[in-house]
Parts: sequence; structure tokens; C-alpha cells
Amino acid sequence: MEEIEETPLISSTEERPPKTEKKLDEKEEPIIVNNSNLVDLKNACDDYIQKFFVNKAEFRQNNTHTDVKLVLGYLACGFALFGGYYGHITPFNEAKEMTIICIIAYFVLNTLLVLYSYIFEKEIIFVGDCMENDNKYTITIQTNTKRYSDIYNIVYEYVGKEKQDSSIKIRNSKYTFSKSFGNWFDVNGVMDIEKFETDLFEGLEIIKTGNKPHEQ
Amino acid sequence: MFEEEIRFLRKMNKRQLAQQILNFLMIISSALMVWKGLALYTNSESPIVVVLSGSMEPAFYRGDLLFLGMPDEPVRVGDICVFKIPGRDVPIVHRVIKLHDEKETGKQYILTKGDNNQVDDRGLYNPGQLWIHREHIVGKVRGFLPYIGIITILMNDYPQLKYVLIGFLGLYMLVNRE
Repeated sequence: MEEIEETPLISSTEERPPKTEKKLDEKEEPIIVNNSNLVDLKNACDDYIQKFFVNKAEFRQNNTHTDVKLVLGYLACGFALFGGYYGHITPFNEAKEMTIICIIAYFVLNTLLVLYSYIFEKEIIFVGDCMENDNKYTITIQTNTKRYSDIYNIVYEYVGKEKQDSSIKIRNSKYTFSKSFGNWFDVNGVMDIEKFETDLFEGLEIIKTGNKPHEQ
Repeated sequence: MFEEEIRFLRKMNKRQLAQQILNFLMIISSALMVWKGLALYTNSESPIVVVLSGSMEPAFYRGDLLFLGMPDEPVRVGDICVFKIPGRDVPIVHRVIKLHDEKETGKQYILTKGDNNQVDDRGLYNPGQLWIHREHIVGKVRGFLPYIGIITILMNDYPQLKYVLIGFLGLYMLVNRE
């Protein structure tokens, strides 16, 4: 099976010359979403932010939140499916204890999962760190949208552990950035990746240097 | 047909893919656990069954949904019970018409008959079997809901329908986020 070419719709609406043909030219296929679906828009942006910080800004992604959730989730499913299978192969009355154990385990694990994402993960979509001459910088990105609103809020949190002589100086900064999805998606739902990257870079610079942006 | 869906799946990294599969599994396992919980709560192996025959008319018709429970008290004459005959998969819902309690052991000898049948169920039992016992009984009928079970009957009659439906639901779950 070969992918021959892109659909004509894309090539006709998007006749922009391939500008960012660096190392990732193959992966840089256009991102197209249904731009009347806020969830789609947010997901596309969230995904791209992760890609951006890993590929362009060279942060190492820390997947702890996702991994914890995956482990808890699969464990819960494992208990459920095992309980179902065990109940299937053993007579009802003999399987009762095992079924109770499985049900309790399933609900406990699910509760933990919900609590974890409520308490620890919140709206975090990216955690990553990078080393710059022995200084460790950790960045946390949270994003959210208000219901029925086209404004996408990106919250940057930056913790830098900078070595100065013998002591370690910890620098904390936080920066919130809000813009309408309309800035990055055209009428056909094609994402203007460059524009989005420019905005992300701007936020990154602000948070790194600690300079406040100029109010417009 | 599924080009877009396949493209969607291929674009994801392995954690996202694992998350999508997990979403799908979560739905199955939640349903399973609710069912099992209900089974424990009602003390009945399958707390909800569908009537497949007209043998209990006019009480129950084909496609009625029955809610079962298995209380601690013994079975009584007149109870409508769902029972399973050993070696046969499909349970039967009929009324208890004759019953003997053994004094020492408390073992019950039960004879059933469909309200709409001319004769009792001895012809339905295994050859030589005259009575059924409490351990064969899945539950007593506690309540019913008419017509809903038709969907189940259709899916049993046309298994392809079931697979197509499950397949589409699964695919939908896999390629949709949130």
C-alpha cells in the first residue's frame, strides 16, 4: 500500500511553498481540522505544542502523568477483563469472591485515575526539561479553553535551576498567553504552523528571559 | 473507506495510541463491571434476560426484558423462574407448578410449566429427569419491560449485524478523542 498523493482539496487551498524544509520535511504535512469543533482545535494545538517543544525547542518530554494514567487504566481494565473471564469459566456461586475483588479493584483504580488527573495532572499537556550549560530548566505547559469560547489559553510555567558558583539559584516564572484559534487556523481548518510556532517561541522567550511582553 | 481513520491512527505516537485503546477498553470493562455488580447485588447469574419464546403468554411475549433476582427464601409454587437445564445453553422462563421440599436437607424438587403450554416441562428436561432443583434456577422474575429485548433477538438471529455494530462502535471509539 502506497500513499500516492495528497487529496486535491489540500493542494488547492494551500498553495504555500514549502518553507520549513529542514530536517523534518517529511513529517510536516499540513494539519487540517474541523474548525467548528473546539475539541478538535484544542487537540490539534495541544498535540502541536508537544511536538514543538520536543522537536523545535529541544526539550526532553517527561511523560510521568501519561504513564501513571495509562498504568492505572490498564490495570483497572485487566482486573475487569480477568473478572469477566473468571466468572465465565467458573460457576456463579464459586466465582463470587473473585468477582467482588475484581469489582472493588476496578472501582478503586478508576477512582485513583480520576483523582490523579484531577489533583496532579489538571490541564497540563506538556512537561519537559532541557539542560543548558549545567542549568536545568523545566517547563510545564497547561492549556484550556472556556466553553463556547474560541480563546485558547496557554500557561507557561518555567523553573530554572541555575548554578552560580556553589549555590543553586531557582528561578520561577509564569506566563499566560491567550489568543483566538482564528489566529492559527484558516477558513478551511488548515493550521498555520509557522504562525503558531512564532507565537510559541515568543512565549518561550518571554518566560526564559523573564521580560514582560509589550502591551499592544 | 477508512483512509481517514487509518491516517488518524498512524499520526499518533505510542502513548496516544495506548490512550485511545484504553478508552475503548474502559467502556467494555465498565459495562462488564456494572453487569457483574448487578449480578452480585441481585444474587443472580444473569440479572437481565430476554424472553425468546411465547410459552409464557399472556404474561410475557417474545422480546420482553425480564429482571431477575435470587432472594434467600425458598422457591414457592406460582413463582416464575428462569432456569438452566444442565448441558443446555439457553435458559427457560416458566412457572413453578409443583414442588416438594425434602425435610432433612431442605432440597427442593421443582416442576415447571409454561403458562401457554399444554403440558408440563418434563419433556423439556433431560431424558429421565423428573424434577429440577434450586441450583438450576438462575433467578425469579422481579419485573419486566416489554419490547426492548427485540434488539437482542435481532442480533442473535443475525450475528453479522452484531459484529458490524460492534466493529463500527469500536472504530468510532478509537478514532475519536474525548
